[in-house]
Amino acid sequence: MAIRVRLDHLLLDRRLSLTDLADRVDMTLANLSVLKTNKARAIRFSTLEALCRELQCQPGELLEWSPEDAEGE
Amino acid sequence: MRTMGKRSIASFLTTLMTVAWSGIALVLILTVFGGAIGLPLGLHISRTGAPSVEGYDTGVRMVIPVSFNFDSEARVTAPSLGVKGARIEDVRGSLKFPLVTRGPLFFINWLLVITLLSAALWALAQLRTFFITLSQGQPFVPANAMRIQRIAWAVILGELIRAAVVWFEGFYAMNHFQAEGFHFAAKVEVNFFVIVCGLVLLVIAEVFRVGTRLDEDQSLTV
Repeated sequence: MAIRVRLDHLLLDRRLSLTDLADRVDMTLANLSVLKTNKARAIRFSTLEALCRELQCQPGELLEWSPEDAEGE
Repeated sequence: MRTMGKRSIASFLTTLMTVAWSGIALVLILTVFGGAIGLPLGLHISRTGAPSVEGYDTGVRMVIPVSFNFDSEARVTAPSLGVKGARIEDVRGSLKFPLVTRGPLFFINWLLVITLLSAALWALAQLRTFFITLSQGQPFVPANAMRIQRIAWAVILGELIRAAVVWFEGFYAMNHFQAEGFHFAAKVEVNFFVIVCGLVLLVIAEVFRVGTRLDEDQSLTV
């Protein structure tokens, strides 16, 4: 997948753990882990909204397009 | 009654497939060893092409599917309906006979029975693993589309093989047996309804493949 989720960077910047974030956005740790490890195929707007709200960021800061990954597909 | 999950039709069918698989496996073992070491055996191939085996006290007994036609018109009437000249055509039955020695007919039928039983075991194993996933409530596992596709091909090829076996047995009877009043005939009779069922299963396999992909997408949507 050429779209990468920069959740680990944002968590590091905000000094938050994945468990804390899961509690705040009311998601399971397993689902957040899928997102963090870039295994997700799609993301709901509601999830994106909750993550942006809790991490105080824009969707563009959370997602990035990686040309190297696109070439590998 | 539930169709999937525990205590459902799928779990009942799983049990049924397991019992059938075990029974056929036992018959296959008996056929292979019985034929190889020369035990008294009864080799049956029914009119539908279904194989079975029986034990006998002595010798070898064969049952093969045959078709025949009457030499002269049999007098069939129905006075209450006013019918005087009804005809009987394309009669099918089973020819049962003892074999004095184990010749080519025995070995050909022995190999046919082993092949048909092995094919039935393989198809049942595919069906059984498919129904296990249904009884676990997980129909969209990636292997299921392939399993249904294999079952579909087994249905189509199985019907063609069945028709060929029934034709071969009829042809053998036609060339080696004489009867008074009727003569044996060999006909290729493919059941097209079964072929259509196999084609429908092929389409269902593709639907399962798409369903599996959608289910995977859904489970990886956060």
